[in-house]
Amino acid sequence: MPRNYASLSNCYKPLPFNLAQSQQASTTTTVSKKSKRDRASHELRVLRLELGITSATGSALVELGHTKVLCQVIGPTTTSTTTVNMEEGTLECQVQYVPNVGYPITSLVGAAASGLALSSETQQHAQQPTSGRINTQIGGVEKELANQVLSSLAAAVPLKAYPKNVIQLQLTILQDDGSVMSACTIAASLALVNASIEVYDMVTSATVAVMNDEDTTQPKLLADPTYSELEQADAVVTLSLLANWKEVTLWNQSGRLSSTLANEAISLCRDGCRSMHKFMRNALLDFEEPGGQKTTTQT
Amino acid sequence: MASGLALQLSESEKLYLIDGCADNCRLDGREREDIRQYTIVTSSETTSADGHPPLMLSNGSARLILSSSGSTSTHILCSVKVEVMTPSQSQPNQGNLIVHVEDSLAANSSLSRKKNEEDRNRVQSIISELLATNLIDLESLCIIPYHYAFNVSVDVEILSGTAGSIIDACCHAIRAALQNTLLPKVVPSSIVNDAGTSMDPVGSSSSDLMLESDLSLAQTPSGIDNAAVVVTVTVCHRALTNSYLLLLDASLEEEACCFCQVHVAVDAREGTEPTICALRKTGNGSLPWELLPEITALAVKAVPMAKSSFRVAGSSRNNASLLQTQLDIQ
Repeated sequence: MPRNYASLSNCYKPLPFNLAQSQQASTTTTVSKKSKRDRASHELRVLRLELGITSATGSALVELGHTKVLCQVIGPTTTSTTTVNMEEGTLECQVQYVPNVGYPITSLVGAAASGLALSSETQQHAQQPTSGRINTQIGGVEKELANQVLSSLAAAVPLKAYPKNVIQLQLTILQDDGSVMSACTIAASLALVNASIEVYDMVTSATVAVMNDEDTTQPKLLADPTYSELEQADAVVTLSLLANWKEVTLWNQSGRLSSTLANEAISLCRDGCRSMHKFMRNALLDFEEPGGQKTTTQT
Repeated sequence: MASGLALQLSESEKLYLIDGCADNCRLDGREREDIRQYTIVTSSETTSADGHPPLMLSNGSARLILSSSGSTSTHILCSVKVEVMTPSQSQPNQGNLIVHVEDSLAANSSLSRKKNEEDRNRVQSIISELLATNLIDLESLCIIPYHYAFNVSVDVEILSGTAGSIIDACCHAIRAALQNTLLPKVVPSSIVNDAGTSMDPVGSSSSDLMLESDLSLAQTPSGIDNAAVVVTVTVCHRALTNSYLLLLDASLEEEACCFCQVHVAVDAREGTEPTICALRKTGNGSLPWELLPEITALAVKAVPMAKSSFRVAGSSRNNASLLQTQLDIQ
């Protein structure tokens, strides 16, 4: 029997929605893009990992600062749909942003280009994207995240041990404040262990944003960036590692980086993954089944 | 795994293929780092009147044909259409570039529809994430800030993908099409209030912009010569020696037994060090740490080869014969 409550830290106020500030920033292009960061550049945000909070086979809640992701694992179950893979199991992943709350809407409102209006009165309205358009855009992002989480976890699960079965991962993003890909991977990895599904290794993940600092000539590398830091960054690198095997299962870079800077960013990601792994291990070892038994994990 | 035509190979076929790669002799005799030559058909090189681009009604278009040994070929058709739109509030000085990839022939194959759609979306999302901001200079697409800018919409149609290496081919086709795109010269007509005070809010489209009908004033989008090139590095794992082999320009069979693929978009301008603009790893294999710098080094090394390993097919007579041989309805 799972605990029938779970507490979220800082769930009393959603993240501030400040459209006026973002519009002002866009008109005055000479405003310096520095944002105050209240932690060191290599420090992770306040982390919270919880297991076994819903009644699914396995579940995990991960909070990286304000980014909150919930993962539920259902399986291994049989499937009656179309093709059944006879030799190995199938891993399926589904990502969903909580409607109207999860996705950072400031990135969509006012950010869409639109076709020419037919008359001047409707031009103001043409600037705002319709909710239908926002939904299709979010749907694309969700699908992309699902593909990436799937490919970062597929190497860790021995699917040959589960022939003809389907293991479903359902990720719900309660709030996205940057590093959501890493949070999803960590949540999925913990949930798989919580569901007692055999895994070769834990998958950890970290994101690093690279920003060119105007004061110094050295570009800044920020570990575990928030959403506003990601918007201002020149490049973002995401890495998912198999923690003990030290092998890379997901590697993404968007934005220009010279090779030395890219190597530095990847090393910072690796350090982030290493510290994340320690937290994940501790969370698993401290987790108590409600019956009073501690989980036995060899991590 | 990039298109609905993923092959199923038996285990012994996979072993044979990978052992061949280890001996530096792939299925078609190439070495591991050899790239196949492809053919690009854009508008005719000759100045004669019967030369025309593949798609007459688009602002720019290109066809890319990559034929492998035997009868396999990858055939890509790319079309660029330009229209005028209102730029977004957050980026009023920039135009927009959207890349869309369609794989309609694979939809008729016997594989299940859902898997097809996922694979198509995968190619679409990889290409648009890697290339959408790295192709041309978006600020040059602006006509009047806050009011008018160009929206360049690139549509890629995968006519056939049996020679593998679809993502690389799409990127070359997009590049060729954009290099042959002509942006019409658009001049804002003067809008001044009678009282001579600030401009009225720009109203409907018809009276504000004038299109220059002189074709010689049309320009290609700026920045296209420095556009990023995508190189796909395919990683194969040899279980016997527990070693990893890196291949360039993989064929469909090699993609079917590969461990994973890394798509790297490299910006290699003249005179500067090549920088990596975007990178994406696909596939379910896990890469050991030491392999990462090798992969990026190989991708950077391959860019000059990829940029130069094509030939341009020009005249309209060639077009007709290409049509006949390549577009057989099966």
